[in-house]
Formats: sequence, structure tokens, C-alpha cells
Amino acid sequence: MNFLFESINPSWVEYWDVILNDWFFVGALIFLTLEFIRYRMKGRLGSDIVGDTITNYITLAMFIGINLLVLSGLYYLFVYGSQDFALFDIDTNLATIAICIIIADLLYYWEHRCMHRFNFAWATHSVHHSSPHFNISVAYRFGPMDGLWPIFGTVVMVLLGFHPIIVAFAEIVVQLYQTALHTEMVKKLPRPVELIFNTPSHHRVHHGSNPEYLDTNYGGIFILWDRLFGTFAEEKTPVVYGLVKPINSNNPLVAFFHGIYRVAKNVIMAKGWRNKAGYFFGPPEFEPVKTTNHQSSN
Amino acid sequence: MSTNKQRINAVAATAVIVLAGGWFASLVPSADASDTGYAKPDNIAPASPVAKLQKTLAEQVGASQMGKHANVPSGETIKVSIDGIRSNRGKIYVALFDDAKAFNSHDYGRAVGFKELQARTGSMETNFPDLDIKAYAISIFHDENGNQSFDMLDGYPAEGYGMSRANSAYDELKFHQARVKPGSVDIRLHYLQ
Repeated sequence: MNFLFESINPSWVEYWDVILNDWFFVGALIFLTLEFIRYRMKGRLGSDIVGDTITNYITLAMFIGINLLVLSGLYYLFVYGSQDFALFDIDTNLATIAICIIIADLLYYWEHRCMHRFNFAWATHSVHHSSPHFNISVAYRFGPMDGLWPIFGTVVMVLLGFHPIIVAFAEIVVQLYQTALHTEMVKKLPRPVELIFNTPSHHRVHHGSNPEYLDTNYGGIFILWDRLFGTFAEEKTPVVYGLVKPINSNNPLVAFFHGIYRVAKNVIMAKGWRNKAGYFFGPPEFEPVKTTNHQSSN
Repeated sequence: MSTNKQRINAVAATAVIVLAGGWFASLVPSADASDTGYAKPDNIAPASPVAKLQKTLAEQVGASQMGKHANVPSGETIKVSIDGIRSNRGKIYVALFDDAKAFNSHDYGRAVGFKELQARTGSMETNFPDLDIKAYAISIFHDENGNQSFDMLDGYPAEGYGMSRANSAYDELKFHQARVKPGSVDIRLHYLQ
């Protein structure tokens, strides 16, 4: 069991990051081909799915551009700033990497839950949910600020004492695990797996706009968090993918910016600071309060 | 829909799991600190001319504890460049650590590599060859009066000192903050008195 505790140089892990990410991307393209063959066999392959898929990859390109130009500097600043305040002295080995992945997954659960429940974050995450289809290319559909929100979890883990490269690795593992769930080709996995782990079935539910499926199954690798924290839903009725208010467009710019546009419009048009705040900080289903009621204390 | 009570419980449970996880990870023993992986003493002929020159100056202090575990080294080297040496007087001691507790407590007896260099004004270089690929931390002091100890005055260092990855004289780095991987390391000496 000694190999579990053998120290690993973080710069090797940095190399795994790149290898994992890149080969996963190639693997996903091959898998996408299989999914297209399935669409074709079911007679569902049309210009809409092709356009949607192209849009997915264009949003990915814009997402990467924003990450490199704007967000990487922010991460550098915060990560290297908080490294000096680490709480614990944590070595880098397979055992501590495994612990880091579990923590990263739990923090991802909260990041993801917040991205669904606060309008200002939903503005960017709703891009990912705006596709009415469900295949592995949708996993690569990102919003403009999707790269920003993981920073809180990243800083928490660096403050705990995990090496920043290990934290990045753990986050990539969680992200890639989720990427693989974006498919209709896998129906249900064996019961123990469905009980503990997030699966394509659980994640289809997460992408559903059916009322009973809204705001459920936020988990990354483990669905246990949802079961524990009361946000779990089982796949029963067929899932209707996409947003409650669909965007009805395959234009990459519409897809990429619709969320920010909707929130900005709501905030600007709303009357009174209470409604403006509600449209910005409130949940997606926020409705403005009637302004005729003057019986409040002030 | 979750209730507020559920939300608070969930956040509290998360905080406990995250903190306990970090604490637990810090307890994970490091295999190479306990029974394997001590860096081999540098009594093998150094490759570079600079190192050859310094070999005559270098003396292995902790050699007795190091021969015990002959691990296959991966042949990595840490090249230490020391800057800001203010005088030719006395010796410069360079200690290499792979153990957090030893480094944090300045326990030079548990260093895995140790160099004693005749001080030379300006900058000097020294190598620790045949290391494993893992994290090390380096601590240096300039024993100007030659009493073989790091002198303090009113709680402040009275002699020049430096650490890997320190940015200023007042950086008191712990092992995880000072750790470097094999390669080149620049360390500046600081003199408060």
C-alpha cells in the first residue's frame, strides 16, 4: 500500500492535467460521432442538432478565450495570495489527491447549486442548460463567466493546504467526470452505482425543464451529496431538456450572451431597488413584488 | 424544494467534511519521510566544475543517518544560488530538508543534505545531486563569527539567513511554503544587524 503515500512532484500532476484534458476532448469527439450515428438511426439527425453542436464548440472557444485573457490572472492572484495562509501542511501523494478530489466534488456541489439559485450566476450557467439536446458536445457548452465561480472552492482548498496544482487536478477530474455523463446512450447503471455516483440518468434529470426535475442533482462525481442535502430526483418521466424559457436559437452569440442579457434587462426594467435586487440576487423563478402594498413598517 | 433548516444543516455538514478532510489529509504519512527515500549523500563526484571546486569545501554532517536507506535515486539535482553574501568571514551553512517537522523546527540534524561553504562576498553556488523527484526546502545561514551556531539577539537573527521561496527578510516560511522541486533555486541572504 506504500504507493498510496509515495510523494509525487506537483509538476508531474500538472502534466497529467494537460494529458487528461486533451485526450478526453479527443475521446469526446469520437463518442460524439457514435451519438450522431444513433441520432441518424432514430431519424433525429437534422440541421438543428448539427447547428446546436457547432454552437456548443463555439461557446467553448469563447469561454477559453475569456478564461485566458481575464480569469487566469485573477486565479493566479488569489491562489498564490492564499497559499501562504494554508491551514494544514499536506503532502502530495495518491491518498491526499483522493481526499482532495472528494473535497473538490463537495465544493463543486455547492458552486453548482449556487449557480442555479442566484440569478447573477445563473446568467452565465444557463448557457450550458440552453441546449434542447443532450449529447457529449453539450458538456462543452459554456457561458462567459462559468470559469469565475470555481474560484471560491479553489481558494478554500488552497487554504486547507492542498498544492494549487493538485487542486486544479481535482477540479479537472470532477469536471471531466461530469462531461462523460452528457449522453442519452447510457440508460441506467447498476443500482449501487446509481445510489452513490452521479450517472447519465441523474444528469439527464439535472438538465430537465420538467417542473419536478428543476433544481435537482447538482452533484459532480457523487450523487450522495444530493441525497444527503435533499436536492435529489430520480429519472422517471421522459426528460424535456433545456430552459423553462427556451432561447429557440442556434446563434452562438445568442446562446452565449442570452443569460447576461436577460438578467441585465430584468434588473434595468424592474421598478424599485427591491425588485432590482431580486432579479440580480434572487432565484431564476423570482417574480417582482406588487408595489401597491404600502402596509409595511416603513 | 429544500427548507432553510435543511440548507443550514447541509452547509454545516459541508464545513465539517471539508475541514476534517484537510486535517485528515495532513495526517497522511509521507512514505519517503518515514522509511524510504532519503537523499543520498553527495559523495559521488560532482559533474560541473563549479561543484568540483566546492566539493573540497563541502562536508557531509548528517552522513551517518543517510546511508541507512539506500533508495534508488532518480538523479535529480537542486542547484542553489546564494546571493547577497556580505563578507568573506566565516562559513555559510546550507541545509536541505525533505521533512516538514525538521524544517519547521530548524532541526539541522535531520537535514537530508548539508553543505558547509567558506563564505565569499557576493554570490555562491552549490549543488545537491542524486535527489528524488519530490519536494524539498532549503535553509541557509551565514556563521560570520564561526561559532557554528545561528546567533540571535533580542529575538531577532544576528547573522545572515535565507530560505527557499522567501521574498523578504521577514518571511517565516513553513515547509509547504518553502518547498521547491529539483532544479535551480535562488536564495537571498538577509542581515538584520
